[in-house]
Amino acid sequence: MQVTFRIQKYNPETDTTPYYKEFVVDGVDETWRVLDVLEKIKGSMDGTLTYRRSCAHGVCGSDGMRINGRNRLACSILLKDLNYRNVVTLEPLPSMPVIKDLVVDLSDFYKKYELVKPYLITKTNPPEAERLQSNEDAEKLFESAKCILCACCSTSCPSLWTNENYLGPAALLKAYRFTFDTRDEAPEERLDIVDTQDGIWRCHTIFNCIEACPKEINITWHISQLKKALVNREI
Amino acid sequence: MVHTFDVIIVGAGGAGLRAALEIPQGFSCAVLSKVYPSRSHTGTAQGGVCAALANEEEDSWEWHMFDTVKGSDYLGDQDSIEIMCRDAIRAIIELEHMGLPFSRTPDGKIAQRMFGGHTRPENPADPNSKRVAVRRACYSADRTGHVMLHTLFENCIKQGVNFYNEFFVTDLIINKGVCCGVVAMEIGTGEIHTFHAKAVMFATGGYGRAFRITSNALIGTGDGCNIAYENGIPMEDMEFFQFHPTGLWKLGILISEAARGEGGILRNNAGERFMERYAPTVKDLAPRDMVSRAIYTEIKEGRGIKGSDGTYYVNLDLTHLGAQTIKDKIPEITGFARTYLGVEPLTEPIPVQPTAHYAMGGIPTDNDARVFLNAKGKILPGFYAAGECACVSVHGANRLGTNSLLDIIVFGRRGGKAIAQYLKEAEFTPLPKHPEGKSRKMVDDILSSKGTENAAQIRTEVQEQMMDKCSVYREAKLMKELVGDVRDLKRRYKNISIADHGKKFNTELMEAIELRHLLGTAETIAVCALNRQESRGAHARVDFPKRDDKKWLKHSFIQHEDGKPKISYKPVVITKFQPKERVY
Amino acid sequence: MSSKYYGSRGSGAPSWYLQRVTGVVLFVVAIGHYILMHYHIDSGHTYDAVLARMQNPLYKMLQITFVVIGLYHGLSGTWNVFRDYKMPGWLSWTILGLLYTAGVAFAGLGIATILSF
Repeated sequence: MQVTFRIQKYNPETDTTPYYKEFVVDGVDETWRVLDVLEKIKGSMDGTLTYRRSCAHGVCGSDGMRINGRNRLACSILLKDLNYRNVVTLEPLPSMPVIKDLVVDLSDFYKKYELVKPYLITKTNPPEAERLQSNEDAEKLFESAKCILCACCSTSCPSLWTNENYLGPAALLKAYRFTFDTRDEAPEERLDIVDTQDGIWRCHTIFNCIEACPKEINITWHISQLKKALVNREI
Repeated sequence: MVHTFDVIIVGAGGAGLRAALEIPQGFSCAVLSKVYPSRSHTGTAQGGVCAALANEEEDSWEWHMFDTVKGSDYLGDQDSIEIMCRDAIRAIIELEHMGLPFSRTPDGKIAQRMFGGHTRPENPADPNSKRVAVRRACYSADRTGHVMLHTLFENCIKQGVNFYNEFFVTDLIINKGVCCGVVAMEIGTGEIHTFHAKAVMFATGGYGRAFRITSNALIGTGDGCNIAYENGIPMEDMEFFQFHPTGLWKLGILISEAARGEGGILRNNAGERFMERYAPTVKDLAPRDMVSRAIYTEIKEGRGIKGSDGTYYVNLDLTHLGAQTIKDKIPEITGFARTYLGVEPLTEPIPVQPTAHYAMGGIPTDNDARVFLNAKGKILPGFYAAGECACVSVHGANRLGTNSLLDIIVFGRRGGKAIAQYLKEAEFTPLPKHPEGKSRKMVDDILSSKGTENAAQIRTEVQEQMMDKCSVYREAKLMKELVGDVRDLKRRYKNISIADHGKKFNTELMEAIELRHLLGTAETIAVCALNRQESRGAHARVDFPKRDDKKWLKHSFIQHEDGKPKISYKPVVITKFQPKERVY
Repeated sequence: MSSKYYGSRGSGAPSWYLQRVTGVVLFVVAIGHYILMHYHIDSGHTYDAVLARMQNPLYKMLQITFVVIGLYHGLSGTWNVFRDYKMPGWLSWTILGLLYTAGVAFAGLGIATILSF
């Protein structure tokens, strides 16, 4: 079987603008991951093709990219999930500075993640054994704790495209993860951080983040829980 | 550019991050990683981390220790295993306090599940009674490694640890017999940096990518191990490489033992629960080496299931578990089956095959992560190793499921503490002249080479050879060939060239360097596997099918001397449990 | 704390909440308005009919509330749209000023018109 990949290429050392290059790849199968095709291109057709990858099964979040116009992980999408008889187009995640080919600069993304205090804050001394927590309370965190920081959601958010100061869905999801942890003793600190004009209020429930999330997290729902908490606190 | 830190930690997986948390305020510490920390391979661990918390049923660290010793086929050092199993309880509670979101019991404690090889006496009052599976693995659905990695990363952010992300370490600096830094390439710019430090810790992970079918991330290329090896540091027990019995067929993606811990059953082409024949007491929850061999045997004896491409697999049957258990306890792995094989685990069995999973061997260390320079126990001052790249050895010839996550948090922490102690008195050892010279030459040689060999091709070949000749079952004839093959590939490697000659984000260059490490590691595995003439744990020799305690109850050390690998031996530490026949 | 990523420090919760509450109020009032003006048998569009209704002070109050809420909702919504864009400080202050001016002017005009009946 044969498949045609149209990939946005950009080498900062030689190119002034990005361009597209087509690769016709033979000997693939529809059960191949997009990443498998990329590895084949890099290994045998064009060694300069550049992208990030690590675990190759949707757990580490390295290979987020735009596949046929949608943000996805190259390792979680098989050719048969795509309309592969037509050309498959790969581009870097939108709205981020491109470093090379499909690699984008994630420093802003991680900065925002760090801003929401993405860690458990406790002030009292812990008991000798574990802090108790009901399984129901624990499971309320599981969906948000699934996040792999692939940046697919944040880079799909129109609010973030127009206003780069917006915290974005990934950081807000992380804020939920700790604000609603029954063990956390500083939810107010975190609520203060997200409750700003460029914080949570740039979320207009557009739902792009949910569509983009490869881990199928209902991000908008989590953000709305934070909004509810803020309204209850302020009014 | 030269940077100066008190401590450099290489690798931002569980062990590296846990160690970083131990470096006290007032000392500078930097963590270097070739990827962002959240991409580290720790994140792919699924099923759980064991500790005898006894939250679900009676348990004790001594039973955990016995299981680990027996699981290691008596090759694990029992003093180290005792430290790990005792400390496990504290370590898990500590992680909970750090914020790890564990699944919970009805009374709000950390939930625990069964796992392969973890047992208790059926009658707790009688330690010699029959052993049955015990609920010992603490878990967070089937994402335990993921949440552990994130919890540790989050705590490092809280503590303000310096991260150098996407810095690819290319060399270790040793001067006057003391380790005093590393050389690293900044991937984004291609610039070579020297990091001068009083202490260096390698927490660089494993090398599963030496095999074609593996559960390991593409970054698991044994960089740290081979850099140490090339710098004259020995490798311990390299012949022991664990194959996890249940990787997704063809892909090798891990399907956690938790699937069987929750009640999943392995079946052959007749639908028979074949593990009943191999391990009558614990059946599907036998240790990984035994289950992997059982699967190979089933397939060899014609009871495998033939796949569309002519390769064989067996079935992992979860259909009787019910939708709720699958959704709550093992959502991730069942998702993998749906995504990658198009199989619905609620109604169909999942095709699985053994997959290269974990390196028991690695850089030899003492119980505080200090690295040995030889089998006699000489320490290399300033150099530490922890995690999969290290060999303490708590896993011996075969690691029990969940003990890798335990290893990284226990020995990562101990390493961090040992470094903190060392820093109190240590001074900076001056850097040698041109510490980065070797790395620069290596990079320049690859960039300027006009050779005819293709790195990706050599990589595929070494992975194929290792898989065919040195995986679950091994024999002298094939391994002799393998050693020759790998050396041939190493020769061909010298003649590779790459298409990308740029400096910025040159992943082709990086992969070429990784291949060097992969080949180096593969050679040590092959040489050690050929050398050990017995079957023990994960090292199963067709030509020497029995364990031979008289001759081989010892660790093998392989060391690079005058351009040749040389093997020496170190005795196993035996304290509480004398070697016995290993049956389940 | 750096101002980047934060914008103004004031809580956004009250305005977010008010926007939704006024939205609901406007929706209900607009339906009432529509029925009254177009479907009620007695209403019609004659000047006399409107004049008669306007003599009721409660009705006047209702109209004034309608104007104020409508302007608040509309202008605050417009501001929210602008806020989606990253702007230099002077521009955002200018737009905010214009919106406030427009709000005050139109509110004045509307209230004056209602009261003139």
